[in-house]
Amino acid sequence: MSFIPRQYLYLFIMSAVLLGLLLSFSIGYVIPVGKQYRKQELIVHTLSKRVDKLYLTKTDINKKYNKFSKKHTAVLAAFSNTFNAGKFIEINKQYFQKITLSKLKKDKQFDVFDTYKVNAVSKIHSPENFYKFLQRINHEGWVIKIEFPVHFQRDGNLIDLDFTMRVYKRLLKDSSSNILKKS
Amino acid sequence: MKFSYIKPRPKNIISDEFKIVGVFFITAFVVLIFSFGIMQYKSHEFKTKKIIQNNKIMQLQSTIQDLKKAMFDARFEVSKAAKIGTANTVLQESIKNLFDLVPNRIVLSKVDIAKNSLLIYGHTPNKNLFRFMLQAPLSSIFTSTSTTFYQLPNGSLNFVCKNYINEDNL
Repeated sequence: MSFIPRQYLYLFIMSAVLLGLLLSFSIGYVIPVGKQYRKQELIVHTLSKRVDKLYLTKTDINKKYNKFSKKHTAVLAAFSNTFNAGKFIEINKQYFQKITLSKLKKDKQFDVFDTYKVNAVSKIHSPENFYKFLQRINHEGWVIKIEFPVHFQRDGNLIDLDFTMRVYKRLLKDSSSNILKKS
Repeated sequence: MKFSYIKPRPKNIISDEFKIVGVFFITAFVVLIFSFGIMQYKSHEFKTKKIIQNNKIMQLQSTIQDLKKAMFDARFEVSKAAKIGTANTVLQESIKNLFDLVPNRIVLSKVDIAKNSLLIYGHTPNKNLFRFMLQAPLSSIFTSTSTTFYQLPNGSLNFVCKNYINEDNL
């Protein structure tokens, strides 16, 4: 020991202690935090990729939905329109000499829409008027199905015509319009 | 008066070697602590980002689900409307075809059209005209057809023609 100067011995011991501290700090704190950092970075990266993919999917479906809705605006609007007997009579008075509609009665409830039954008692000049009415009914702003039975009865120069219409209306709980706004 | 031949050197408590080692360790500690701090901060930031991204994913998934449902409903409604439109057209065609079948000399007084039956009340000058001109085509459409005639004083006939079709044939 006599050939090592005392100050160098102290320096060596201090260096060894500091190196030990350095290694302990690295192994005990820095490396685990580094590993955690890498792990979190990877997770966030994966999540970001997933978000991008979902965003693309959403945009794609939204685009398709908008295109489809635009193409079928009239039909989709018809399902949300509330049946108006006065307006119906006004639109179709050209086909009937006289038409009376009975009260709108709730018929059935499906998952997507409600249906209402309306009985119509009318007088027409000729069956041709009824054909024209049937052609026109698909474009009147409501979804209406003319149901069986249909009764024709001659009354002088006119024909008494009784028939039932089923009006389809989208259920209020349907949130298609809200989705459109949301997206 | 000089007591030594060598020039005196200042004697520091901290030697140069000690300084070098000290600077090395201080720098190493500073670098490590700085890296540790940065990584801690970033990890925390990533955790926050992770929560935000997860929320975004949930929101997007819910929107996609809603959009898919809206798309499904819209398609269903359009197809339903098409079916209803077709049914109305078929009804129109059926009624038109029925009235086109009736010869001018046969006068109808009442017609009841149901889903699987057709009742016709009317007036015919004679049975043969009715049988050949109306009953024959009706028999080819319906499963069963039966007609009852009522003689009128002027020789012509009133008739009630009942036609039925089996559900299976619909």
